[in-house]
Amino acid sequence: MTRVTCDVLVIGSGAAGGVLAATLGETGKRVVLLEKGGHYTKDFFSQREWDATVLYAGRGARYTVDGDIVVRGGECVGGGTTVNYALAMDPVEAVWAGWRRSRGLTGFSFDPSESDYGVAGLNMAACLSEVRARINVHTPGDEEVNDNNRVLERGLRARGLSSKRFSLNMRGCIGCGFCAEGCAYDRKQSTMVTYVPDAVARGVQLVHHCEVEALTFERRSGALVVSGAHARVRPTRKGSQPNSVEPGVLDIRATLVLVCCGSVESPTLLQRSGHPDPHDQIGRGLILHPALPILGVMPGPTTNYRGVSGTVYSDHFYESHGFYYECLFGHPAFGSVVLPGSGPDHFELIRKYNHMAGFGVMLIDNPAATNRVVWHRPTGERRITYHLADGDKARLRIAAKTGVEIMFAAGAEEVLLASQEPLGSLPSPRFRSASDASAVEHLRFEPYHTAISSAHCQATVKMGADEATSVVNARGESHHVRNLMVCDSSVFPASCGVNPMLSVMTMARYQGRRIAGEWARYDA
Amino acid sequence: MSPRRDAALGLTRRKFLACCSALAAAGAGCASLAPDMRSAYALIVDPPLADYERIIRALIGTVLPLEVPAFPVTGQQVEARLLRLFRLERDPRFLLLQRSFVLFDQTDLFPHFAPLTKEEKDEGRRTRDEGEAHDRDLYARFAGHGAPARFTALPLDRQREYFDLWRQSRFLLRREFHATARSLAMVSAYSMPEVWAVIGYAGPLLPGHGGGRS
Repeated sequence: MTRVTCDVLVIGSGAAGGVLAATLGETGKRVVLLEKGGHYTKDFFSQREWDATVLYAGRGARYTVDGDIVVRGGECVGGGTTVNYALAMDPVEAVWAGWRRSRGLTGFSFDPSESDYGVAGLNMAACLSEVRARINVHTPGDEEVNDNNRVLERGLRARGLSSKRFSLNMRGCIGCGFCAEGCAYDRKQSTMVTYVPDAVARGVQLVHHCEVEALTFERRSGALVVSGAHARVRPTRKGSQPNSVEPGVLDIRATLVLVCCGSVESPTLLQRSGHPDPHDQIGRGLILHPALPILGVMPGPTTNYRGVSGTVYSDHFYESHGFYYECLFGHPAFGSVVLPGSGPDHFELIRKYNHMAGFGVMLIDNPAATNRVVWHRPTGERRITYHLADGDKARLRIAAKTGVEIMFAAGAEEVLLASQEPLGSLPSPRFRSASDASAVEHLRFEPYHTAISSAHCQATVKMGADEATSVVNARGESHHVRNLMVCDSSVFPASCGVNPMLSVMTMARYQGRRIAGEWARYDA
Repeated sequence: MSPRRDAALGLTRRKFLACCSALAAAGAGCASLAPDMRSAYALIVDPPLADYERIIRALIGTVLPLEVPAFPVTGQQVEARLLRLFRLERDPRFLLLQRSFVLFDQTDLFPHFAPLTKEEKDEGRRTRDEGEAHDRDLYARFAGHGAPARFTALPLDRQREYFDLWRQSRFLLRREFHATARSLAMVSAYSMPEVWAVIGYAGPLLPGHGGGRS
């Protein structure tokens, strides 16, 4: 058994944990950073889809209980930032302002002149600016927009809909098209190549291949206080960087514990640790941002998988209907599964691979208490129960129908939804003209028929002032266990309204600076 | 599944089942056994690869266009890759899938055996009855042509017809099997560089990584 004592234990090295470890490393505190997955770097990334599955939770096959939705999440040093498409959308100030009002949250000022909690210069605007600078968030130039993204831009324009360019956290991207397989050139500015190395350079100890079995609690003067964590370090997998401790049991004592494992792992860690939950709130109200791909067969060759994957999106329907169109494309091993059919019909379709264009609908879903992540003790599984609400289905149908029309307006000869469902008189969602698009109203989103995916889990350890409807307060501190904080997308009270990476990183920078300014609060 | 040794008996679990189970001796495909008994057998048995490999092989031919001259790889090549990518014999998560292969092969069990998820059980009798009627009707149309008992013995077009019943089913676990079997075959085939060339996919940019690790 290895025993470690530290001031701050950070669990999870993704968008939140990486930033927190680096920020707290600046203070000279003894910080330990744990990561469940391996530490894979550019030398490991082979641009092969199958090789990259090791970077994902459940090897990329983590599903909701009924198999309806694949829930992707990074499980490696850098977490989701290692395997995402570097889409760096600013936090939506109006959403955070709404949370402050509706949830009684303090802090999170977007006014750059504010000093929240009395910490000099602490506000979201300053933290966002610092994060954007560190991960080189910028808007790509015209020369970085590939054919696939131009298809979406063209279709939107033809339909009179607005389009925008993503901001990206890249530096000198060469456009290989393998963002989701890990950047083999270190051009994507994930926390794996930015904040985690910063943290290690400041003396933070990184332990990967490390699964925290439970947080440890003790009573002090009648209050429940976190004292550390009990973890197990697995042997280092081939291809990973070496570890800082030997495989086996790892017991860590810490003054402050920060849980930053994401919206599936954070609630289940609290649950299996026996964290008090008098109002049955942990894991409830899961947000997924369900995504549905729309594919078009274009008349000529279309650069789709090569180039910067995502440069164009549309928020035209964000205010009115709560969804985005976002441009992305996949590689054929997993892309083949998304295309409908089998046998020769499927082959005929996939032979048009380099004539295809694709974008996705990303729905801002509404929280429902029955959508929940649960640690299932008998099997040791994380169970994700999620059902699309009728209202969300209705909005997805509108988004899909309009998406089909956009694809035809861009010049597609045929448009497909990633579904095997018959739609009224259509045997499958393959459309020959825009006038067929109305058949989308028959789409039922049946599990194992329609390929809905999620990469944006949120809102399972909600923050709020009211203990009856939340688990942590605005500082991310547990309502029930002292010196235990949660800081990741799970603390969002609802959808953050955009691809969440930059919202999470900004919040983590904010909380890191706040902790440094308020250290006496924890060290008493 | 890797055989687990039962220390008390000095037998692997698989051998133990083989020794004690008359059903096992009778064989999963014995049509003289009642459908319920064969279903029960398929649910408890831990089939070795030799028992379900031929079913995987037939499924690969059903999902992929092996008969199309332009399709550049053989079923054997895809099968070898599938068994390398998905450790069916080593990973306990695949045990249910192995059992499902055995059930799937016996086409006449389709109308008899419909395991329900908890939510399907909770949906109420009427919904279940409608689902079962829907699936029975699907099967009746298929079997109207005179279906033999084994998927693996069917001609290719009938195999595709039968496989598609599972896609059209009202029950989640049947559709799950269809989706899983389809995914195993497709991911295996479309991760092969030989296939990329035919569909116009250039693959990795990295020099020296063309082969990858998988």
